[in-house]
Amino acid sequence: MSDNLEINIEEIIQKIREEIQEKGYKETDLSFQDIPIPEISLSPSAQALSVSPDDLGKVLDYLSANYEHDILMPVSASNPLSGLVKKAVRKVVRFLFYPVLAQQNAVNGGVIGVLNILAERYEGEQKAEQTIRELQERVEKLEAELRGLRISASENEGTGEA
Amino acid sequence: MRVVQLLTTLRYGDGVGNDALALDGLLKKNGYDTMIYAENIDARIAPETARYFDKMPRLGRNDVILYHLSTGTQLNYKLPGLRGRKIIIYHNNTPPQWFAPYDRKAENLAVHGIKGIEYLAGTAQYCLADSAFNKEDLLQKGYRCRIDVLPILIPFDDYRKTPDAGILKKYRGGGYTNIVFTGRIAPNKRQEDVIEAFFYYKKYYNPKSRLFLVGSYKGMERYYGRLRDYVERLGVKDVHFTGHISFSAILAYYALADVFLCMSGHEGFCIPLLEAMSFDIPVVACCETAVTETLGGSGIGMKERNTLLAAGLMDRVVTDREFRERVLETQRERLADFDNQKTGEKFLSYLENFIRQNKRGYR
Repeated sequence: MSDNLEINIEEIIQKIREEIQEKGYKETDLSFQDIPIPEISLSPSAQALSVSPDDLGKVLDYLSANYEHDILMPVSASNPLSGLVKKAVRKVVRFLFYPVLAQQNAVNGGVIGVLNILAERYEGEQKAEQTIRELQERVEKLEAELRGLRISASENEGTGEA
Repeated sequence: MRVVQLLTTLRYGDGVGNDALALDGLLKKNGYDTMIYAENIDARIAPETARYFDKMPRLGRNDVILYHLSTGTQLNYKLPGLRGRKIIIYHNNTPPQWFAPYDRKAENLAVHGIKGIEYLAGTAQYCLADSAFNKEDLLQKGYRCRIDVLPILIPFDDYRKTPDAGILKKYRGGGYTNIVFTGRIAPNKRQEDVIEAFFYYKKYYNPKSRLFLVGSYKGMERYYGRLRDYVERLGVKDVHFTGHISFSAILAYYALADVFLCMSGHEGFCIPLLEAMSFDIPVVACCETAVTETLGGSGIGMKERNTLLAAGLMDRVVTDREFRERVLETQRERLADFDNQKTGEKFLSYLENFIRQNKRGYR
């Protein structure tokens, strides 16, 4: 880094430290370590069967986490011989399914990417609808207030009150 | 003489995949007979660019293998048996302890990765490490061959593509300050500290702010769940987890960012820092592992892990225009060090030296 570009970060940090002290900014008592590690129990069938708008986030989380087929998933077998056979079968047919899985993974990845964007937009629309509803209520309230003010103004005019 | 690149997974858009693809282009441009071989190939990659490992022809002893080493894979154990002169390009392997509380599979893969790296110590005739931090890691794992440091080739031109218009429309304007961190959701990235720093920033400095955590959480669902719970318990609003999104969507988040905040605890290089620099976003980062080196004195590097200070620094860089401009100047200068032309020339000269000095390979 050129000398003329050097920034004295330590000096700035010191100033910020003093500001924190002065203004009494406090660290939170809640530590990340206090948060228990959750158990994940999302089964694909359960998720796929019932998708309501409220579950959208959860289902999307599940899909985002599981869209990729694990090509090299470990072979499970009850005894060493069947494990060996399974591994051999996998080796023999991998020329067939590796490219297919790779292609499927790419497609799934694309779909999830699009779904995440759509979900964001959906969420945005929900918020926009909520905002519109709130604004409508506000307009109605303000119109009612305005009507009231007009009535009292016309009454005042009638009685000649200042 | 052929120069082949070998790696376990050639994925479109990840750091190692991009590096391999960029090196492939560079080698072809310079007249080398080259090909990428991988055990898994992303379907978006053109078939003439890469082939499956089991299709790799028998190499001659003067052929050169560039092996991208980054994770636990059976390929680590197959490499010594291949003919040809071997160069290892080391991209780092995240230590398993980061994953232990969350995912046994990821932990095992990382353990397997360390064993593989140690196993290959005697095989490599020459190594290229993404960073001095990675070089040190190789030395500690018993590598005694020559090791040079060569940064990853980054496809900066791709960042000039069109960002997702929908995301820009949704979040642009409204007077919000956008804090962004990109990188998969993983414990070594310490997104909890990013959230905590944002919590302080929003609470003490700027209530009209948002945090975007851009990245997939595949395989790290429990860590992700814990982060979500943390956000809820802190009661901090406007924290967005994007999950896996398209490249154009990532570009949109960079385009929206006012500050890039990195609190990562383990990085072998940290490409997102340079991505942020290429978008002219001021970087606030915790200087640990290779982050210090990639920043190279640019941006705002904190020597201590302190989320309250990070919040203060973010406020300073957002509100003080002069300071922001000075920070950006340091970043522009640093970014020039990672120019692909320079890195490419350096790579070719390292490769030519290696070929000259190791005329005859051994089995």
